[in-house]
Amino acid sequence: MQITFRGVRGSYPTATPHNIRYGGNTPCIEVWAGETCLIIDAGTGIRSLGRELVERDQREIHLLISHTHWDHIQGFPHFAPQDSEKTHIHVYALSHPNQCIGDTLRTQQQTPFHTVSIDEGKAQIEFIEVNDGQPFTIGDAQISCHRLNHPSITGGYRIEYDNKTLSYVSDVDLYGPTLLGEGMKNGSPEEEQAWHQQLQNNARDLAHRADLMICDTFFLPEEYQHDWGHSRPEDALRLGDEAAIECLALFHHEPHRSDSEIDAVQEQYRKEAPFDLFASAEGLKLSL
Amino acid sequence: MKVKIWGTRAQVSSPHPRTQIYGGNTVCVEIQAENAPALILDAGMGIHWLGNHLMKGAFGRGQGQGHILLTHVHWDHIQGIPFFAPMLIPGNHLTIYGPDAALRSQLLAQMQPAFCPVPNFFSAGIGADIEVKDLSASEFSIGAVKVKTVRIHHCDDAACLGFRLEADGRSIAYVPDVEYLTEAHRQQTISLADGVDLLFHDAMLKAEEYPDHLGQGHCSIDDGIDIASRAAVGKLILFSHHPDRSDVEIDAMLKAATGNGIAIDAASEGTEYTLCERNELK
Repeated sequence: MQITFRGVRGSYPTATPHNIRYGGNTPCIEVWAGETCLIIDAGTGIRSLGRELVERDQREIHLLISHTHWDHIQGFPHFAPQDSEKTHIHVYALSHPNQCIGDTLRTQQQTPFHTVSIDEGKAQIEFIEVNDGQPFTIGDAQISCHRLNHPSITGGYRIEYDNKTLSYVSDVDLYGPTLLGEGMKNGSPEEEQAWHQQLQNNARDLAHRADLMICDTFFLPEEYQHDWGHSRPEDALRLGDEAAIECLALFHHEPHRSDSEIDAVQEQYRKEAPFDLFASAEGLKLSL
Repeated sequence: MKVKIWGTRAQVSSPHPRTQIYGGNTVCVEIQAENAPALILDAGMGIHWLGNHLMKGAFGRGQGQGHILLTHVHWDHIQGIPFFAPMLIPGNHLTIYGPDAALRSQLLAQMQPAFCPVPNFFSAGIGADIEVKDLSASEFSIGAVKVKTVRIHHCDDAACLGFRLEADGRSIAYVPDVEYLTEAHRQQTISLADGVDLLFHDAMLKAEEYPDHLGQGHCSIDDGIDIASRAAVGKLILFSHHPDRSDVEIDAMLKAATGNGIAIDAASEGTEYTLCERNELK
């Protein structure tokens, strides 16, 4: 499995000289499971990938969307394969009770907000709603999507291929006290307790013995907000420990976190982690 | 009057080591004039950084007064609004102007929980007081600044404006997204920009790229030079850079644009132009 970080920044793209090394584009991970092209999330990082996919005439593209907050979909209107003939883009997302992923992405590209609608592009685009925890197959890759604790409806992904596992656990507040997702709030104490348990189990299922876990570490401990739906590096370390992972990639960096600050975070938590750890950086390629 | 550039990119933010000089944030320009509140042209991601700057002053104390003029509502002109910190501070008052009667519902669509986790500050009781006003061709004043808006041809399906602002006898025109399919389209900009000190003009495409983008709402750099020359502007500022245009390419583009004797700059993030008061002889 070949992995390239295309966008690592949370919330919104930040073009500033202070973050050139780690990068300012919003989330996008390119994953090749053999010849199968998988993409996780469509932040602005997907734009550079799209150009390369058109150049190499990649006809089958599988895009896994964690959720539809702007930073995870805003690159899709600028994804060049949308306008590439004979290309088939399969878009996956957790099923949503009242807004399917196709409608949400169509809304993003409708007038008067954008110039080219999804249905005007030359590619065939197919939308697939997946069920929480139900495994499915893309090429030779085994995929599962599990719901996470984050506002709206958010799923993390687990990709298994050739005896290696990549886990994408973002966006999420892993151990926070507040239930944030649609349909989770305002239950009885027992229902809330059951949700907390379920969501923590989901994160552990996603991460279980992963060779690489890419995990939301938006906050530093002193910045933590209980109602934003993001985690701290210590939360990712705790999950990594519980799930016995091999390596952790700190991800979804706070928009203003500078290169030198991310260097320091990486250095600090490397000392504490019982597994390999690095801070996700745009352009970084690795092989599992 | 001071004019500061906070975002220069068309279409989508393009953070990249090769966009460090001209900047990678989508479009936003700030106008500071004496006896006028904060005045902001377009709300691409550049407005986020402007907002952080404004928070150091009255806006951080909930005493800010600001006006945001939107040319149109394509994402690259409004996507910074949810991340403009003064919106979250009670006591601030912001007025947003744009060219569509549906402007309020369009801005609310951007704030929907499915897309945006930021509290919806357009609701009463959350954050700043926000007033939304739709404009067509009109003339009005914001403090000491005279504002003129005209319809500009961009895309058939999105109403788009150009702006002219005047204060202290100095003037700028702002036409970030425009395509000239007819001479009448050109005349709209020429009359708006007549004799201005600074013209911010769409420069997303090079002349040789334009034929492949015919009908897509943008013009070539050569069109900007033609307009600037015919409107006898003081300086043309090439604006709305293509997201893939590197600093080196923009340098080369600027060097090649000799422009009929018109002074030309390429817009770069952080640049501030100071237009001193013009004392007319009596």
